[in-house]
Amino acid sequence: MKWFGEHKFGVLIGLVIGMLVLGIGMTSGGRAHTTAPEGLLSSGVGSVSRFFYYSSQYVNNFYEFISDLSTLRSRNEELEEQLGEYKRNLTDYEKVVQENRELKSLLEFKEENAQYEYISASVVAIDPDLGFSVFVINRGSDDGVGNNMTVILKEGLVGRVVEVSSSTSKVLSIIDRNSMFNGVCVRTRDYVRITGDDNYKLRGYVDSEAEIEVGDIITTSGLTGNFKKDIVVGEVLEVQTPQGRLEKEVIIEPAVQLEKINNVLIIK
Amino acid sequence: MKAIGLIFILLFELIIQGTFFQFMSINGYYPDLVLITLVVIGVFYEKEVSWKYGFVIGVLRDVIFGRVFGVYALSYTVTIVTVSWIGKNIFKESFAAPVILFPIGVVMMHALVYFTHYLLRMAIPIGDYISNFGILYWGINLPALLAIYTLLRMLRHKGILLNM
Repeated sequence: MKWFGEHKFGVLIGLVIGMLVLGIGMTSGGRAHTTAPEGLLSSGVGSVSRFFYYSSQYVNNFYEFISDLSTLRSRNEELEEQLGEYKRNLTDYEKVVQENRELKSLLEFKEENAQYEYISASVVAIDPDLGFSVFVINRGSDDGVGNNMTVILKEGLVGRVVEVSSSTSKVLSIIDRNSMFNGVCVRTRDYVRITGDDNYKLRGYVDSEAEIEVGDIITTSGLTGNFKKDIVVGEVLEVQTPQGRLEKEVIIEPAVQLEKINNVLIIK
Repeated sequence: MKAIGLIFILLFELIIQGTFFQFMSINGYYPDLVLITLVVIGVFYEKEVSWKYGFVIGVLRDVIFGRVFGVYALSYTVTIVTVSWIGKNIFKESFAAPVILFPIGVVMMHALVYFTHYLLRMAIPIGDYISNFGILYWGINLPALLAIYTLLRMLRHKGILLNM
């Protein structure tokens, strides 16, 4: 007893550390649902975060607008020129698409997607260390959100829900290094194993005989993992064949600009 | 009441880091207000008191942002206990204490976070992780540390928020 009295603090800290290590061990595989107190806390903090998030975004946009004012005119001309070019490209593209078989698959894709039910959500906070690798949205189990649901934007795939509380959820985006899923090249139908990489890019691995090229579009395969099929992932930026490797490596530009997202859709 | 006030300040700092600083930063760098405040609390208080602040804000961070419960609670608790212990035994709350203890706190806290993530196979390459702590990081955090230390020291002398 005397020993415990003399080392009371050491014993206390030891117990706390032991408890936390146990907590880490128990939740290391991820949790589908948070406990009620955690949900309550997340909801409370989520509403405060949301206010700060949108206020900060507004201030940032205003600051960027002021900073860009001097170069606005030349930029406007440049953008108008680009817009003209894009319009011409779009016209060509539409003509080609109308004559192409891909229209059929596109329509099928749309019809397939129409079967899904969507839940709209807004981003309320971002992980301070990891940025958009993990972010919090303002929808939870009360809104019908479930673990592993696919999160998208109209441009393409964003990530998946990894933790759900009553009114908020955490989303693991596809750019996180721990995100791993299967994609498929639309043109060649080669399968690609995709994981997150630095600088908001994705890294993919394909068979050495795959005929994948720069500019190819990658979609989700729907074969393994949690993502629905045929959601656009991004465009191939670079194809590398590292020496001594049996696979090619591809760098993929995500279709979604993750650093600029505000609202997302969750596929139910 | 004073303890709750400090917890609210730490929570506010955590929210600011997750929202405001994500938009308003210098090349992605911003002051780590939570760690700075914890180090200052560690300097002011003995470890028997200071550990509670590290534990509570760590738990809050794990609940709000974390994917694995306990990583930040463990790291913050161990860091603030160590800072308090060194501060009490070596520096005796001199003005140099926070300046010397902050780098120790940064190294200790991030080493624990990295090590835990490494064990959980969630760690990024160590080179990438260390590259986050360049000159700009210290250039932003050290002035913020001095500002927060001066402010909390003043509040402490006036008997607000921190007990003497």
